[in-house]
Amino acid sequence: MKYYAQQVVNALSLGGLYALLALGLGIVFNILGLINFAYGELVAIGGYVLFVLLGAGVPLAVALPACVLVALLAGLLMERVAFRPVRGASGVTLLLTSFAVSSILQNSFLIAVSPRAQGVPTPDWASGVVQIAGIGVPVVRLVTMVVTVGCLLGLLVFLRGSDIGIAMRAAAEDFTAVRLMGIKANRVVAWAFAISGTLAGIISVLVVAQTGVVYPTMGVPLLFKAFIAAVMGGLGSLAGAVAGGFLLAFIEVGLQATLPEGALAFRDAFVFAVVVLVLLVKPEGLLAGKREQA
Amino acid sequence: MSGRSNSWVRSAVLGGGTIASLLVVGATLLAVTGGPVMDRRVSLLCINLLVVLGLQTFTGNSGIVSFGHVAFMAIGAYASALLTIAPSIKMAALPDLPTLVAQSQLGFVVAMVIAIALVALIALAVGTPLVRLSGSAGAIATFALLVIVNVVLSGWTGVTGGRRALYGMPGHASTTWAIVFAAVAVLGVRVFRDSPLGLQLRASQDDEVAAEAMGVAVRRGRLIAWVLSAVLAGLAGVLFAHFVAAFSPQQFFLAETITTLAMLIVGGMRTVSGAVLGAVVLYIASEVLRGVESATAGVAGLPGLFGLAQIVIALVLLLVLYLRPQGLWGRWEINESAQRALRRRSTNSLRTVRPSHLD
Repeated sequence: MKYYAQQVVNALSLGGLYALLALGLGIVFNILGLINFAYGELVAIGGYVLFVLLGAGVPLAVALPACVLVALLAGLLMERVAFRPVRGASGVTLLLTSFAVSSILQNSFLIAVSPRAQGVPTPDWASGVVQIAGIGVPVVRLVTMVVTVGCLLGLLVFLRGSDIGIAMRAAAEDFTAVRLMGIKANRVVAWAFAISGTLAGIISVLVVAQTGVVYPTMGVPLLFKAFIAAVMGGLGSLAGAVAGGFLLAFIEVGLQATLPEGALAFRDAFVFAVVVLVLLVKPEGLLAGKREQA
Repeated sequence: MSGRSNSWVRSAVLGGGTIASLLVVGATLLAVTGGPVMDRRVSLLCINLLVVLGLQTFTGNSGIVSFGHVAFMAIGAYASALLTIAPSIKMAALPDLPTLVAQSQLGFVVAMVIAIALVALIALAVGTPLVRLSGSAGAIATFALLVIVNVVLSGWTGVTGGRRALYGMPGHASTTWAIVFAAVAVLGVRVFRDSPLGLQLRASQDDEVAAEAMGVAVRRGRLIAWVLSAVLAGLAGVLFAHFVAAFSPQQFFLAETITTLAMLIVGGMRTVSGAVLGAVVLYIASEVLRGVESATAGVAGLPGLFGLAQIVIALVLLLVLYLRPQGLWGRWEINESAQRALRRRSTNSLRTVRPSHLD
């Protein structure tokens, strides 16, 4: 019983992380039709900022907001420099562009820092375990769950309550109409990337807290998770992205617990195969809710 | 109009033959006069060119960008390697190999044929559902293929050695093989492009619905192009496996995918001339940059700027996507441009009044 409860806790905390990842990817896709393959690198940027700041002795209370801020700015910069020239181009051109940006960033980390993984000093309390109802919950996982809930609520309030949030939701359905209402396209797109970057920054904190290392390709597995979760939940729906994140986490934890030893290594292959199945059965799943591009 | 039925063959052979000949002459000269380093570079260029030609066959004609062809390169490489490595190594390092494979050691040609047959079968199996997807969905499915193959090869440690380098392949792939295969592929891909099937596929790229309405069997055409292109990539993999001392799954993943895609798109994905141009230009650029990478190693106590070549390749890809999406070469194949220029000149000299849309 305790084992299952433990696994559920694992899945919930992992699900929260994947949900945030899927959201960060989905919010840009909703509006631009762009699957940002360089999204993982935004998380990596946040991770490397933490590495530099914490390594230099900057206190946690300063390093964390700084990391999120840099990731936000990186997202804005990415949009302005890399994606604006191809705005409105075909889906595949956008894909290729984001691929190229991803490669540039990964290799830049390689050159600027090191090809090897770098340890990030995490505070001692972050590795502790808290006892809740007899189950040992690692502090990091608890924090992840709390942060996830906070982010989801914050995003919900923002998208429902603020003018620009409503504009973004409208843009996901009909960007042209939004512009006809007098709202600048650039502003909507910038906000989308800003939110995407902010989420990436928050995710980088959570990931580095759990793993304690940064390396140039750390964004790649994260991107895969984000992508799979978003496709499973239905790209084009933010609620779907969240649902997809939790679904993916439960599938992963479930497979981890039930697959025979030899098949565990292929777990990711199974999951990607599911993605292809989803695409085949419901290719409009990729476009559901995405009716018009800028 | 009687010449139309085989004029495309003449045009294709002329154009493809020109490039193939240039390739053979240039590559042979370089390989013979440049010493072992240049010889090696020529081989690697031809191997990459085979992948790019495969990409041109599928992506250039159907319009669906494939991120997955390097997966077929991997399958070809591993299949051929596992068939040709000495049994003593296989028994020691790869315990889960089927006994038949583990205890045998086939010749290079036989192994190549079997490996390519395997690639073709897998391509057929994977392609049949995949060709139903267009545009972004198709591209993403090919990306999933790349990841799945990479995960399987990395995880199946008992059969492939997993992430560890696989070694012991007899080095049979000489530069001659590479050049000959590349040249024949250039000709073949050009013939395919100009054939009625290739033409129909390219029509579907412009307007899938209209093409189907005209009777084009789009899915069947895509599947044929997919299998042919996979075979080319698999062949490249086989040559690669016997060219290097050791390889691992990571060599057939994101870096190689971006490099070969960049070569195709920078050169121009619609034409074979473009594919060859892109491969040659980007390969030269990456070799020069790799020289820079090593040259900067140790300067001012810095490690080398490793990764610079990849960055520049990606930057060039971005620039082309922004400024000249049709690629450096553009729309017309090498002999088509020449014919158009000749025709224009002859009509000008006659000074007849022709409606401009006939040119």
